[in-house]
Amino acid sequence: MRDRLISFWVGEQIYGMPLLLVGEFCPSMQVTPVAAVDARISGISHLRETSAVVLNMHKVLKTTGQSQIASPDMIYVVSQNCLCEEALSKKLISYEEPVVLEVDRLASIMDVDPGEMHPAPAHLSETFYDGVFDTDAGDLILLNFPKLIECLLSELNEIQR
Amino acid sequence: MTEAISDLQSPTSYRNFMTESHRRFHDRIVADLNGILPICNQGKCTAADISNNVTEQQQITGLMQKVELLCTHLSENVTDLFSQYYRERGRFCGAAYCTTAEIKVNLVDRTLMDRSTDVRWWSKEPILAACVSSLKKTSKSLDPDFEELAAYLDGAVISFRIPSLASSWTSIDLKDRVQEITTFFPRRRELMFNAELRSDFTKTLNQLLEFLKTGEGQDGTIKFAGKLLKKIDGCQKQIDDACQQLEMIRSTYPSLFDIVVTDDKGLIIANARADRRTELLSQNVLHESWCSKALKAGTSQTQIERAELKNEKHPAIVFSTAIRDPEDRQAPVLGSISVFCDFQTEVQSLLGNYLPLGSDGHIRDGWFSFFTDERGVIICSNDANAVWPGSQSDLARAHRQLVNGETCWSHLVFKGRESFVFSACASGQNTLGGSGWVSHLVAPASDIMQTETSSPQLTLGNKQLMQSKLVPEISKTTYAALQEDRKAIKLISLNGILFASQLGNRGAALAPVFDKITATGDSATSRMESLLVEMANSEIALNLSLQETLAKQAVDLMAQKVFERSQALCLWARTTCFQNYLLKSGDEPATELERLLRMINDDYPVYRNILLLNANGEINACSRPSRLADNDVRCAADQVWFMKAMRSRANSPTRITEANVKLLDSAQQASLVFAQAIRSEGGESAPIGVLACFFDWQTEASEILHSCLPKSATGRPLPGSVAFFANREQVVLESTNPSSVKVKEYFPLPDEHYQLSGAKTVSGTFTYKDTAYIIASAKCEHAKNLDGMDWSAHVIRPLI
Repeated sequence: MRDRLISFWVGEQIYGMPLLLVGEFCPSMQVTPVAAVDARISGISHLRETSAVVLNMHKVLKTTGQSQIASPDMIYVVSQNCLCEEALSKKLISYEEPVVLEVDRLASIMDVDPGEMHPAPAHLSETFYDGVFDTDAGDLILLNFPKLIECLLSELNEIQR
Repeated sequence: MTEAISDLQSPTSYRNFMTESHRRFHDRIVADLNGILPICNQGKCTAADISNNVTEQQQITGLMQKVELLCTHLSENVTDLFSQYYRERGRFCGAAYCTTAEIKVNLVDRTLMDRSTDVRWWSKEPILAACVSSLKKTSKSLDPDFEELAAYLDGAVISFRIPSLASSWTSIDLKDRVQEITTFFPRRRELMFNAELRSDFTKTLNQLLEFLKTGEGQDGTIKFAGKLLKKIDGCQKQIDDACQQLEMIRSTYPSLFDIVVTDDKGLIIANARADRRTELLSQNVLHESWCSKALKAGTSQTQIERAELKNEKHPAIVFSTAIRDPEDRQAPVLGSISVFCDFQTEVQSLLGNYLPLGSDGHIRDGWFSFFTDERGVIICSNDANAVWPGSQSDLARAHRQLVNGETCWSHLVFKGRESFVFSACASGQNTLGGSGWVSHLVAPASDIMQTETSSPQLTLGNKQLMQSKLVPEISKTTYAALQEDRKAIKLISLNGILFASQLGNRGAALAPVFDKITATGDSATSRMESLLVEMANSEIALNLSLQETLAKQAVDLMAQKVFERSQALCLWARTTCFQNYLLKSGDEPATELERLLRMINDDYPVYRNILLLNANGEINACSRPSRLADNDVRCAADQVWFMKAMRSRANSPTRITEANVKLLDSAQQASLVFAQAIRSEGGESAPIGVLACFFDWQTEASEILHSCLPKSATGRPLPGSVAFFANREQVVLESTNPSSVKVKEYFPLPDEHYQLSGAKTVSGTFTYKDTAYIIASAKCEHAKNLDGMDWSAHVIRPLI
């Protein structure tokens, strides 16, 4: 059984996440900035009458370089209750609210064998990294989306406190 | 000969010019994109098969329609892209080759102006004026003299007494002799020019005089006849001197057919070519417009016109002006001087310049360069056998009737071949009103449009390359639009695959459709992207090649100017008044000489100063005394150029030296100095002095460099581009933009450009003050005795 991933570039690193968590891939869309909010949150965007928080993946993933892309790609990640049957059958978990990930560039959709996943190297200490796949484009880091949101929220709460 | 097949103003379809590889490229992309359309149809059908849900079906159909629209858009774009590529190439070549045509005609215009000035200077030669006025005087007195001679001879016949019976002569014999002499009377003017006739006349008259000497009371007749013979012989001496002077000029300028001097009645009294002298001398040419116009010319006027010559292969360009008393330029006209120039031979090599060579070393087939006058008549061409001087060019009116400084280019059939013609009219800044000639450059359409250019060695990424100032704006816009289209196709495909995945097993049939769309869209857009990069590289390669040509043109123009001036100096050094002054004590005031030098300098503003120095290096006279740095410094004996000139051999070419002249010219540090030894009569003796000219880099080089700047299609110099001359120490001699490339300062040229050998060109990229430039350099051909010719021309233009 192979898993289908969407891969994307943030800085010079390629990342991946389960395709079925995605509701839609969008071109650069208007983001409404929110005052006094953490820099990891670019703002709020509206898609098909739904509002979603836009995460700046450069800042979330703490990459060294800043995005030079004039029009980044957007990945609309659906909320848990909007996951399709196929996603539910694969026991995929999303967040309770829809989220938009702002990435440098979408790469491709790829099928991977979970058995071929390597553990994340020691220097990738973040808990939201599930592991690494060898791909033609280099080492693809598989993101654990719920954990990523969880980490982000806990960090934001700590800052608020 | 030619047939216009495209309107100059309307956009030309460039599809006919597509190279085979581009055609294949185009067809493949279009086929790929067309291949997506049935896939989309298949997708729409699949939508109905995999889902009964109308919303799901509409989502799939909507995605397919988006793909179809994008494919159609891309397909149109790719066709436009090729048209745009070839149109841009045409436009670029139009600007480039029109510049070349313009440079050629302006160079010729400048040559015409210089030659006109030379001719005016030659007309000031005292020997010619002396000859014309002496012959005029003699000619005027010939009628009364011959009348008087007739009276003397009549008297002699009546009063002659046979002294002794021993003589076999009779009075009848005497009458016969006198009769024989009188047969020469109607041709008395011819006696001045026709050596054979004059010899017969002298012989016959001397025989008669010998006979009269045997008689008595004939002293008066004998004395008068002797005086008359002396007068006529005096004319011969003047004519010989004048002819010798003209021969000397012609030996310095071998491209001259002949030089003719007439009196004020249009009678030829001297010429340069000895083989045609008998035929020409004493001929009246007043009916020829070059002669009649010259006799009416003002003091600073030279007439230039075309003339067909008997026995000559090509028509001549005639430069003619009036001869006046050198002491009094306002005096009435004494005669005229007309210089017949074999222009075809003289400019043939210039016309052949900058035309591409084939593998056999000859100019590539179908390339021509020629000039026409205002009536469209061909004046000269690089290939006189194909484009015959004197014939009608038969070009479209738009090419023939250009005004000063105007250029045009079009696509037409020339000599049975699809060609591009690039035309430019002389700017008219060099001559009074300009020659009005138009320079045409003809190139086969295939060479212009289909020649593959090798990619330049650049260290730029594709994105940086596409930002280059050298890449046309339209290519940049297309590149950006292509990126958008590529992204749009990708998004549609990804969303399609996502949608299929969400359908689970039902969507399995849909996934390959989107995979195919992704692959085809990627392949088509990648091809288009690489084409745009190829276009950009080609554009840069063409720019580099054009800049090399411009740099070479700058060097050639300067070298030609210098060589021409050095030729003129050879002649000046032989001017009798300089020799006469130096042969005298030299202590006499040089007021007259300075006036003459000033007059020359007024005619030749290319010199900052002209100096006459004696054998000790002391300055005897100069044209611009105020420019001498220090009036106390009147000696140049220690100057390299002076020593070189004094050591030179007779008949050796003018020495050209780059020297520090601050001591003699307050405003200048370095200058080219032309120095020519002056020798006394005979020319083989030791030098008696030196004539030296300080070349004005600023005036000449600045004008040349400005004409060699890369220009836009509208003819304006491209922003940021600079042309400059540098010497072997990389010190800038002259620059079109002294604020960015400073004159008299060191300029850090790339090694390959600095180490360039003579007559070579090179181009590439370099960074100067944090700006990336493309640079092209050309080095002057180094001549052994011309150490002042070791300079190079450089043209730079910002890359990004």
